[in-house]
Amino acid sequence: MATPAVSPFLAIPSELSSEAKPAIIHLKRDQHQALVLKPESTLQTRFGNFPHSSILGLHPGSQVRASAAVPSLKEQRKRKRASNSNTTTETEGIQTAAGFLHVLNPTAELWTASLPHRTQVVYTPDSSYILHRLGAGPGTQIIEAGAGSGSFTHASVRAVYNGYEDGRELGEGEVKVEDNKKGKVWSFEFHEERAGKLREEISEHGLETLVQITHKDVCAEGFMVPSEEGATTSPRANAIFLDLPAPWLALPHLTRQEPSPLDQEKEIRLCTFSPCIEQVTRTCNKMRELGWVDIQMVEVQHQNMEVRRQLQRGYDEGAGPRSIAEALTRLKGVNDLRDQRKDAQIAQAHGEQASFAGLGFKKSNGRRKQETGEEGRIVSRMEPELKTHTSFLTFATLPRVWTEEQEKEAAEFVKEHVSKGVEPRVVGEKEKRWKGDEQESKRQRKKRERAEQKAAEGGEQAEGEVKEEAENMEIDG
Amino acid sequence: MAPSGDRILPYTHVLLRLPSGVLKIIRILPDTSVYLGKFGTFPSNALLHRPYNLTFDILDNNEGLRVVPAEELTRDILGGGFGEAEQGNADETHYDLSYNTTEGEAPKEGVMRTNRNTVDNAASQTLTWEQIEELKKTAGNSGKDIIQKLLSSHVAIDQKTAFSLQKYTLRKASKFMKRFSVHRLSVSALTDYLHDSKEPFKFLEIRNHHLGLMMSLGNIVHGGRYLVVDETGGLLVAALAERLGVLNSTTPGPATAPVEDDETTEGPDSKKRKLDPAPATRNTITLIHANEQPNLSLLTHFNYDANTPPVTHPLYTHLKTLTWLQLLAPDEDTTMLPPDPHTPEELAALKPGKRSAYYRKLRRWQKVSATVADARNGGYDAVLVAAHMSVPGILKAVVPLVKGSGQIVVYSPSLEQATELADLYSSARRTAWIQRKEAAKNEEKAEEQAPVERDWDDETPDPTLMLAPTVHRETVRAYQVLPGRTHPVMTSKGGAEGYVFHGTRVLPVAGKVDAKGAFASQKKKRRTEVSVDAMVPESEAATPVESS
Repeated sequence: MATPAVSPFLAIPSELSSEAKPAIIHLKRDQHQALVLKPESTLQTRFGNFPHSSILGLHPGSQVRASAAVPSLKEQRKRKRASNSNTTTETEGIQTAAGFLHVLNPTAELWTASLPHRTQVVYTPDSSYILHRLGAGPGTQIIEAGAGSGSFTHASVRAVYNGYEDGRELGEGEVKVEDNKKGKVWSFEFHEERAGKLREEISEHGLETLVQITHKDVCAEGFMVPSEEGATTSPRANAIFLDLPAPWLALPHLTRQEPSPLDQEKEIRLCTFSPCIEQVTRTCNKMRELGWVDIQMVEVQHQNMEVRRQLQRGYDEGAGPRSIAEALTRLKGVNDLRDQRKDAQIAQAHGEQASFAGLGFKKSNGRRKQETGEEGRIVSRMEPELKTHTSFLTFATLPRVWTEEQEKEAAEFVKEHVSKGVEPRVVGEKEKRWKGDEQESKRQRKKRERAEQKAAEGGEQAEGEVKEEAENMEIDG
Repeated sequence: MAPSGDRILPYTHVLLRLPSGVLKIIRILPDTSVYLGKFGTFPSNALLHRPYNLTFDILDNNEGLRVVPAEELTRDILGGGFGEAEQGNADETHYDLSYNTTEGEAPKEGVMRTNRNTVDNAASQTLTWEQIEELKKTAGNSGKDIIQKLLSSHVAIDQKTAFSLQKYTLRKASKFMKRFSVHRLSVSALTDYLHDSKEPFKFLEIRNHHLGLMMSLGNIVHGGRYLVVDETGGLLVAALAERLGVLNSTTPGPATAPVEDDETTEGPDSKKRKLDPAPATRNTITLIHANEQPNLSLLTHFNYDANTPPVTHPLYTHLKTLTWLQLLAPDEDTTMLPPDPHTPEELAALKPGKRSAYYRKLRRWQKVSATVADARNGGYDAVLVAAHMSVPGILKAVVPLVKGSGQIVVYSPSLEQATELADLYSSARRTAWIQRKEAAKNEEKAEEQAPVERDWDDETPDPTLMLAPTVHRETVRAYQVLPGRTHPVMTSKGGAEGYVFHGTRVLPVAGKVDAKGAFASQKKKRRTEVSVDAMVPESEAATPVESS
């Protein structure tokens, strides 16, 4: 049986296929649609119709033109109606051939932007900071409690992934490294329907062996994962993310006492995600009680900046002045006009025709032609809708248990196996930074070896030869 | 038997946090004494094979270390170890100032004292500075004695409110406690350290949240191939390597250079020589640098010295470096010339020294040319940039090397640099680019193409290659969390705010994309809003607006 393909979330495939699910359709900025490509279907958007067959086989990231050949049923109806009634010449805005879209490979970010929201989502600015601070890397076993919509699940599996158990990611001739532990996300969700939905999604995305989803209330029942026959497996996690309403209830389950869900031989990094300050203080109190150290709390704020070219419009385009000079010109012009009016009235009273000289500005039709995109000046501003607060992130560390016996054992070990029993030299300010080991160069080594050899043989003559050879070597180099 | 599990091994770099909050990086060698200034000296052997994240008291007279239990640590943070009763209910009473107590009456239990009657007086502390200096030398117990003495000889100590007493004790503790905690030197710890103590401009003032965001936006995942332009001394490379799991050597130790046995008399095919491990094809970092040699000085903290790379380090096979010249004009680079060929007979006739020099050159040439060919072939999963030099030109060069749907992420210290990039990929510029190309095609077919791509004075990148360019601004605000005293920290480091520019590499369809209607008049636009939207499917933020 052929092994299934690597999830498109973890490697960009060379071409879009119905296997790699989903493809992300980029319609416009901040408008994405996750799509499973099927040869017989057609994607209908307001930018036109796109038969999946026109997308399949393309390289991810390709721009796709709308197909003129396959008008949708709806459009056909509309066209028919339009031709029958013959009332409106304005089509409904869907000019089939004009539109295009981009089809992208899914990433955790794109999935977050297009996923079906079931709960409050952990967005990229938060998740990226959390994963960085938790030190999540290939091989990490990470617990995620409160999986919710699966946004953080996708971000964390990307961080901890270092290959599938079945080695499907390996290319021809590559050998699986046996001894490295495969990174895994241990995901918990106490809402049964959400857990089920997430399980479906994860499986569809080809991540099922990398994410273990458990339907369980961790606050009440802890983090052990039930396996067959009533037994439980321990995640042996070394990174933990808690997105729970009451993290302090889950903390006592993160214990070093067996059965423990933690990696007993490593320090544990933890992050809780709580929107309210009361939750934070309560969590911190509990953490301190349970021996967590290095407690730090931060808040991440993020904005997208909108970058535009600001083209200033003047009077000639129906707007205000561009500068003081223009304002002055206009004000003077108004004065002149007033005078002219007076003159005109007088003239009219005398039965003459008056002429209105302009204000120095001509009004145009307001259209500005784009030339190179380099007109105006670059300005930036924040996006119109901000997320001013997502949640407080509380980080903490649980060190390994270190008993006095272990301390003694370690001291003993160092004394016997590491230490050479020499007088310690002081490492102070100057040696703070290591600048690479000093290495004996090849030439030095040879020279030394020869010298040793000759010294062993003895004789003054030998010494002379060494010198000579050393000189030869230098010329060679 | 060696203690099991994850612990501090000899020759690794660790981060020490001192009571004053100062961070220090130390490479732990066996049989040395580590000198921490006024906080004392301890033997490095007392730290080896111990776990990370423990806190130690430095015993007096270089006698070793004492592990501080977490409970003691927490108690010291919360109450300085003194006045616990008051600390217990401080949460509730801090703001309950009672104004009902009559003059002269003793304040009720549980009501917070205020600093109303506190008078600042230098004479409150009865110890003279000479006495304190003397105490510093003589008082033992890892500094606890001196703090106790200071408190007991402070005459106004009972006037202090519970909070100010705690603050006072903490302040003294941060000055006199001989204590430190030891942390794993991860990239995030290193970044904190660099911000604390080094010239930040050297690494573009890049902060942890920028690195995190770049790793996520760059879609960095184990197994990919990544292109990097890093002028931060290796910080970005380190962050990327950490995400790819190739930063830390499993066997730290005195570095060993690749052993080369140059006495081989046979030809290059003979396997007598210990072979260099073959460069990896997946999970790699390719660094483009502007000087002859890359500046990766920060990687020495992870036991990787770029000048004499240790063959046991995973970066030895996973990090490839090449210069801009090698990437853009390999024909003009002399290191790309193969060494003069020799026939096996000629080789055999050479002196051993010359022969080994020939093989050395040959191997270097093979390695460099393979790297260059690989890089010029492109197909990278993402490109990450943090550079002092002008970024538009960099993007012009590297964006075509990224595969479709790959990510382009640039760190800019200032907003101006980031907006300049976003503007280069605006839809107006894209339209102009397409029109210009069309026009050029109609006029003289092939002539336009070549000079534009060869001319590095013109740094304008092809705007059709990037989708949805976005400028991210991110700030992280730290809080103090203590019972009843939770608030944002009062001060923090300023400097460059830092912005992250991000876009996705796309493959534009050949020929003209019909986008008519995008510049329809305002009136028409309003009338057929839907259709106009349809014409401009992306980057409306980069669309010029007209201010009124």
